[in-house]
Amino acid sequence: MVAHPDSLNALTVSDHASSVQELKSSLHRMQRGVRPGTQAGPKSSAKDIVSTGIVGLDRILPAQGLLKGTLSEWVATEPGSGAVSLAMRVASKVQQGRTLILVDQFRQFYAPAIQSLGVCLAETILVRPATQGDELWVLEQSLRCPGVGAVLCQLDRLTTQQFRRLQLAAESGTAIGMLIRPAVAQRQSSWADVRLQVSPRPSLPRSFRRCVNVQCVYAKGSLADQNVDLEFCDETGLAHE
Amino acid sequence: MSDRVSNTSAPSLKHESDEYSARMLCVWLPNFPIQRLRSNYFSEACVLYADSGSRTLIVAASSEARLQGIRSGMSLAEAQALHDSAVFLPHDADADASELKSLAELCYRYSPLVGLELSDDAHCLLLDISGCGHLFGGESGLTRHLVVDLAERGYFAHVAVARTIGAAWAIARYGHCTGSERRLKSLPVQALRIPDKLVLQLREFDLQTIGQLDALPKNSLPSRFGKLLNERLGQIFDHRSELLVVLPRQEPASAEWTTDEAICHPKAIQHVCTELLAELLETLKTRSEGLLGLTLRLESGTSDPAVLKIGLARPTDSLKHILHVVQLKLDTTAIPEWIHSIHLEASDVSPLQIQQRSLFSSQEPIANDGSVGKLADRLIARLGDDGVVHPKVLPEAVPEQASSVSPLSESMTENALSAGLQIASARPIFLRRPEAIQVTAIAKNGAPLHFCWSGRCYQVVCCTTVERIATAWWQESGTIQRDYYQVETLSGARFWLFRDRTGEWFLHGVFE
Repeated sequence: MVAHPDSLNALTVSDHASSVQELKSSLHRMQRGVRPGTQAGPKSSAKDIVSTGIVGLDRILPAQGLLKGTLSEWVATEPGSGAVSLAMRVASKVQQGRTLILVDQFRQFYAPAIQSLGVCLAETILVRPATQGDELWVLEQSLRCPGVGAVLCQLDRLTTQQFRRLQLAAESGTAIGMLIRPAVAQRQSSWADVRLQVSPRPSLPRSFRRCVNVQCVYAKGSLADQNVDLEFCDETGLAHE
Repeated sequence: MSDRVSNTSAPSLKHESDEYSARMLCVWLPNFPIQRLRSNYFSEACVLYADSGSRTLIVAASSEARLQGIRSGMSLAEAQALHDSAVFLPHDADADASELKSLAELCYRYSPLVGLELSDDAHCLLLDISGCGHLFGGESGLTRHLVVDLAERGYFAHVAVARTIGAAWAIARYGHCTGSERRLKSLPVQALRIPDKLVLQLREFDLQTIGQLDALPKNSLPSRFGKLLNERLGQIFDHRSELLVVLPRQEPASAEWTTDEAICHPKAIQHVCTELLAELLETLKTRSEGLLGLTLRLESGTSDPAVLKIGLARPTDSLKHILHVVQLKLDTTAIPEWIHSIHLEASDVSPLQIQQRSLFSSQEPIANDGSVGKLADRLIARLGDDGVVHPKVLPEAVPEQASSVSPLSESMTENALSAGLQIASARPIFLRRPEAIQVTAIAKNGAPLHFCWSGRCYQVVCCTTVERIATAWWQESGTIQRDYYQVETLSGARFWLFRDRTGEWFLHGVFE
């Protein structure tokens, strides 16, 4: 028996469409697998997810927040972009009453600014390593410590092996590692759970409120193509989309 | 016979330097529970209470509270009605005893024999200073030094020296200036260290002074007032000897290893340190104490010894943790190549804190489980005190002076809160050293329009109004006058620029 060419053609088209549909839905399922409230992924549960305190930022993150025991990269596209301030705001939320470790190799962190971003100075430890070796050692030790809530560090250079070591250290603890990276880091491979690119945006006319664009350029195990524009109010410390 | 001094006035003592007779010194700390709190915390009116059966009674009150009529033995409700704005706190007798012991440690500087007066609410320290006076230029010099030492610790004290413990105690508590046997006899019967009930009984017989009691036939007293009265009378006039109950003093725990064959291999040194540390911790374990500070001395026959001082964030008895910290310190310190002797001493110890474990296991770690303290110890051992700090905000207008740091080892015990000035405008997260920049265009109002920094040129699209920061000429920093602008460039990046009084422009921070 010979099939009619038209019917064969129609069957092929419908098969192709259904395959695409099936692939789309499985991709969607995979992506939803790490979201809370649905089918939780094998590595994360709802209690491991910590909200950043900014609704728009949570939305673009695959887990709708940062996961404990992971690293996140905050890439500043240019000087004065606001990446560190944003990461600091998030660190004050995700530390959850535990200790915040700020690794400050260049001794430039300014306490009044940190405090104004909502960080509790009494629960903050400023660590000032002298060399890059010490800096990585401090990061590893801090990430492994169960009493630490978040670790924030500005890292310009990082080899793949060093990055992997940090990721393993983060996995063995419950702290959230926040690495501030320069724009050139975008060309390197990442062992972080998410990579967020922070770009400055001009403030709105007749308003001097800080505006930034945050783009999730990489997310482990899910699609990463979302971005959000955020506006910060210095007086209230609130962020709006 | 006896002399008294307090730290309210300059001591004046008459000497009867009988080098071979016993000389006893009594330090009385009036209203000690309140003094202890004031030396640590605050200067407000303060009242301490404690449960006594079914009632809550006042134990001690500060002078401000006493002015309002609050007295010891009064009920708490009554005291609160009299002075509701006073601070009411539960009395901590254990803390009092602990502090008194710590003051006794201080007194070992003046005498090898130091004891505590054990009668109720005494708060007295007793020192046998026989033969010690000449070390301080006489007894007056000794008492003067002691009074100053106590004043530095925040304590007001009455100090008296006499031939017996009873006499020294009586003069410190009830005496005035110098004393003699005649003066002792004029003191009230309370000065005999007898219970209040016995004092009331004596008053019923109109026996008010020690002299009146001493005049009575001694045989008749025990049948009426008990044996204690005769005993106390004997103790004050040296008819009956009284032994000073010396407070046991613990020598600092230490361990030492010495060899003729010098060692140099790091693993050998580590092995010896492990053995010594285990020995040290075993000694501390019997005292229920944890290690808070450790001094490690590595000696070589040829060069100067290396002394490593290690401080810990909280008392611990964990060999693994201390060894880790010691190893980190050894890695970062220059030590002699060949080592003949290693000496370990517990320079600081503290009672171990016992924390109840949770009944049910949980994956959620306890926030204050000591892990941060251990982390801090490791970080300090490798990076030094300067490398691990607490950020602090200071109430200063000049940006460089508004931020400070304190070593973590100090902050973890003090936990002091810091407060800065209320500033409306934002500050950059990274404060740099002022860096000269070139501003190529300036607006009419003086704000920068175009500037170059770090090889790049930036066009300013908007900026804040000027914020002038100026200091007066008499301040340490000299005269500073800066006009600050927070500027936003075309891309939205923000910088903190200022123009000084000479008109030069500087970049002071980047809003990263």
